[in-house]
Amino acid sequence: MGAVNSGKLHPITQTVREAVAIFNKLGFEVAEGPELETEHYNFDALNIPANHPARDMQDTFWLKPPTTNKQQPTTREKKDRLLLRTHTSPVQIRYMEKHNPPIRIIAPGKVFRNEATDATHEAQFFQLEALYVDKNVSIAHLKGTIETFAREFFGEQTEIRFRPSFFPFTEPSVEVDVKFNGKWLEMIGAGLVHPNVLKAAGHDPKKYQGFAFGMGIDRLVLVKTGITDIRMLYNGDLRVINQF
Amino acid sequence: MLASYKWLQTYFDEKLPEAEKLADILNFHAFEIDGIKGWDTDDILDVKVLADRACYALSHRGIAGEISAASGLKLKEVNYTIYRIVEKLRKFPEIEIKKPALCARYTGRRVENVKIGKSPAWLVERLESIGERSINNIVDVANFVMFDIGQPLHAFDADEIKGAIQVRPAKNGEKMTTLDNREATLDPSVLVIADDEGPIAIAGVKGGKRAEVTNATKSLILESANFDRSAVRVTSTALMLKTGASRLFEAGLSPQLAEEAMNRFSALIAELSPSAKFGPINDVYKHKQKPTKIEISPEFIKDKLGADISEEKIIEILSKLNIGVVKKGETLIATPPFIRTDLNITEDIVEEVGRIYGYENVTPKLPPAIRGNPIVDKNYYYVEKIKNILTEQGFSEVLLYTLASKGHLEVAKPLADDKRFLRENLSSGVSECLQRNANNAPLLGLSEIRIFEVGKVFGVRGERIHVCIGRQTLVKKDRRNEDILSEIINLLGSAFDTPIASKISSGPGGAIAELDITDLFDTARSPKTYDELGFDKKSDVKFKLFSQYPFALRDIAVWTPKGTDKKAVLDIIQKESGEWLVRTDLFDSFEKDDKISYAYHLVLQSMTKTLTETEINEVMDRITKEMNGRGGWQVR
Repeated sequence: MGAVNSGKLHPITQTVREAVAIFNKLGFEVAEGPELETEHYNFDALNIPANHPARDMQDTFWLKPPTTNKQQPTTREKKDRLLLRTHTSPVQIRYMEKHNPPIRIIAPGKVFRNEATDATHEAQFFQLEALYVDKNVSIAHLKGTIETFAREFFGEQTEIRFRPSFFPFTEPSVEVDVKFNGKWLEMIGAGLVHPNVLKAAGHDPKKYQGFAFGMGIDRLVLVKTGITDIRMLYNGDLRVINQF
Repeated sequence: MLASYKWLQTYFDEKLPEAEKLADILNFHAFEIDGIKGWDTDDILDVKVLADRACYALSHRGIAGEISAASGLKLKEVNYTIYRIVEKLRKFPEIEIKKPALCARYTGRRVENVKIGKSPAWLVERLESIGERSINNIVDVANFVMFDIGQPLHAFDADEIKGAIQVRPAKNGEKMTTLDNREATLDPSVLVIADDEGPIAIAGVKGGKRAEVTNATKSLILESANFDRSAVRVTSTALMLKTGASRLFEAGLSPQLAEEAMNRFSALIAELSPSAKFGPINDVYKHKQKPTKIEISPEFIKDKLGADISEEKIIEILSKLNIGVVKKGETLIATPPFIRTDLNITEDIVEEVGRIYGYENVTPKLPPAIRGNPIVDKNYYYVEKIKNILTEQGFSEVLLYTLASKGHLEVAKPLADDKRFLRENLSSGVSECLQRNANNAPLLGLSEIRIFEVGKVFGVRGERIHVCIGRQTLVKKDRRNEDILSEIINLLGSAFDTPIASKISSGPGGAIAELDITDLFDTARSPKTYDELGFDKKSDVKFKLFSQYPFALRDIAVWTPKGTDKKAVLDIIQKESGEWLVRTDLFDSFEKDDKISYAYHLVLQSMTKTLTETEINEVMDRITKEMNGRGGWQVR
């Protein structure tokens, strides 16, 4: 046997790369964060307090406290319960704690939800988070950025529309629909960064504002490729992967 | 929540736009409509009220208000004097709030000589249209007012209550049977409504059986109260009792609402049971809700929306939402109505203006361009580089599950028994995956499987990033699994100028190597761009569905006259096996004398069923017969 055919990148990787290339041109850099998160970064710092109905929006995999922990946790981590991050938004906080505005990041990564799986729901999936913090950031900037992404990703004529929504970490909050093949699809959650989030990360909300949005990479893959069952992305089946 | 079109119409003199149109108006200016269903001659809207607006919009009045603000249709003027009733009793319930922090307000009223019976048709229809069951006139009225204005209400059988109404934490081990006949064991984290004998309701969540209103009930104590949102949430979550009432209290209701609801509750009881005699309302309300005042400049709203919206327009929008506005120099003082406990900061007002103004009216604009290239994330860069190296070597990327049957860290509530832990390694998953794919190798037309995964693992060293590569051959004589993997590892090592050592585990299932690459990139140079990784390659490949049924393998070899093209052989195979043929591989061909032999692997599979031996044999027989029928052809 001679040279092997080249292998295939997973469609999630291909899609993330495509998004990174698009956002790079708009000045956004890649940032990463841990999959094993603390309650503080996943919820509290994102303005999702304990005993608030907003926590119902994300079913969480909490961890059992480890019986043997060889690592010495920091004081903050000690009082923080561990969980599998339910979204990539904690990367916003981690990045903002270490950097001063202007900030433009995208954070792709794996997230987890403790919910029953079916063709459109998985306990793990990939999200891509975007954050822009600067002086004078507006809904118009949010719209311009998302529209540019949608057109590069789905095609030049792609339309988007905003609908009012609610996320604890943005105010105002919107749901973004993208028109693909003549159908409006709910694709992106977005909004202007809530002042409590800026504060939690150590920035003055009077001085800085921002926008943030997040989208499911899996959904982008499904919509674009026509894969009908999200579970096909995680069973390692080359009958799927080798098609791309 | 479910909202009835006819019910909403009662808030307007003018005819509402049809349900579909109404849904559009709400979708783009308030909240999402999940669906519309017909019910009798009514249309029922499934309104997805999210946590912020639940304090006022989990009610027909709240939704009607949104319709009015978004469409400009005027709400009917309501004459509140119709809710006044004549008090013929002096008696009123004693109320003791032991934990005022958890109960901002409690209004109670005694009603005597009440007739319990069936509800009138209009009331039954209202409730049934939104999926609620009619119980009796009193309970139905309480539910009606709740779905109408968003304040939970309760009625107790007054004759069953001994002593004062107490709002207090439950005692450890105290028990109560709920209205739906569940026995709840309580503890001091649960706030209860109690009398001298014990709990008669779980505050804000569910009533108790003991003081239930039955057909024999003659006297009532009506309750319209306000309970702390967090306390209700903790209780309803702990007792796994999510009710219409608990959802409303969790949303943070205004205590101001309690009095209005009590008046409407009373007035409707008076209407449905004219013999009823009412006592005065005992209203325990120490710390009155103060109006929220939000100072905001029109400039701020314009800047945040990025839209050129005039001050007049802003004031007009806020007025439509019943938000009071007073000008103070350059700024506006906005005073939301009491029930809008969701409006507290300037950004909340920006959203109110933005959504009614319409986001479609905001012109998109890009943030100013930055100078130079954005910084490259070193870790991300090199992980992607590794993926490129591996795919170039024929390895395909898989992404497998983080939750596994073994590991160091355990999740508290696993979805399944084999998903209790966070994976400690990638090898276990990759090894199984190698096997599964090897089984499909003929279908894939592969004689070996090469896969890899890059992902997080969670062991004693905490969260680490690993890469795992695996190879399995389907060729018997091929013993290169290990050699190929060590070649690849060397290749990765030279890419990072670091010799990498890795154990390769090898067995009948193939060879696997796993590396911890968390610190591998520390000393690597920082790249300036992602350019050389080829991220701009766009793929427009559409997925082709494959069969979920088993496939069958068959070989066929045939002598043909010299000069016969292999296409002629393939044509027969294709014609006779039809849509069951998924793949052919020419694995041998040679000439001898004036003949040429072709040998093919065939993979047969149906999209709709498991093929039987007989069905497969029939196909092979047809192919053989067709081939043997040609001059000079002979199936070997």
